[in-house]
Amino acid sequence: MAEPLKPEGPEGEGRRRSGPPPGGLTVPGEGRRRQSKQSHSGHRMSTGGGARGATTNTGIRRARIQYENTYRTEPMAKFRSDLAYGIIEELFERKLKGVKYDPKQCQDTAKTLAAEIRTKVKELKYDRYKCVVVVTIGQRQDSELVLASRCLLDTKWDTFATYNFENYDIFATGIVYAFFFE
Amino acid sequence: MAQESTFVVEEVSNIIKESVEGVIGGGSYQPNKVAQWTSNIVEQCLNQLTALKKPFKYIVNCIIMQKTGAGLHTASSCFWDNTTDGSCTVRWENKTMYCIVSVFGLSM
Repeated sequence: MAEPLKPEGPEGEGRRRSGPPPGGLTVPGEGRRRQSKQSHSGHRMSTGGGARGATTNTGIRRARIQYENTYRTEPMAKFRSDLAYGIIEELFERKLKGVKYDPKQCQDTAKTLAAEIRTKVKELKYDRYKCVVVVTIGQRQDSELVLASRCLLDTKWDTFATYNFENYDIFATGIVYAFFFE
Repeated sequence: MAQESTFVVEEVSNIIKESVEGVIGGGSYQPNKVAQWTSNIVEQCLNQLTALKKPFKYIVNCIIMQKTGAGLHTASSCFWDNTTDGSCTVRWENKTMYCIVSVFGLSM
């Protein structure tokens, strides 16, 4: 029978976790915060005050770093969509060659492909660019499909790249959108 | 005027549903009209999103697929600011076709 580490006290501790939280030292306010949700005795513990705030193990408050304005309204280098096209093409050719459609596997493949494309686009290290990657994989089975996409963007700096792939059993489309963060 | 500049999923979801219902609401799959439908859906979505007058850039994706038992998977991966940016995907279907609309909103 698991015993709570601390005996029940007047604060209405009730059910407590039987061990310290996995992070190591207990944050002083945390335990109290949890109890206030579970105590039925009508003991209203204040959840504000000391329980808030991110206190690390050493007790130092982690400050949010604020950066100075760069006053730069335009990127230093415009995003090159042909590089993104090359990335998608290379990944699709390598990962989808000879792949047969399988519902569970294709689900995972689509997710991993999207994540990998995003990682590679990030490696291009374009400053202040946000990117969205969409991968669609479908089964070739005599059906028709139309995929349309439209964006509201700044044509000067924002762009996109699309690649279509087909083999005997599946088709796949990869789209990368790169938007400058003003 | 301080406007809420976070992506509100519910609001966008309603916009998408209205657009889809408005364009292909009661119809059945017609190959010659599909291209026009997808264009109309994305245009309507985009117009209504712009009317919200939020400081956002939008991406609207629409897939219309005929129902023949074939499978389809869509995945997306985004590098953005989680606190302000978001996405919303709506799946709609009737007896003859599926329609999947995704909207991504990136704050400026």
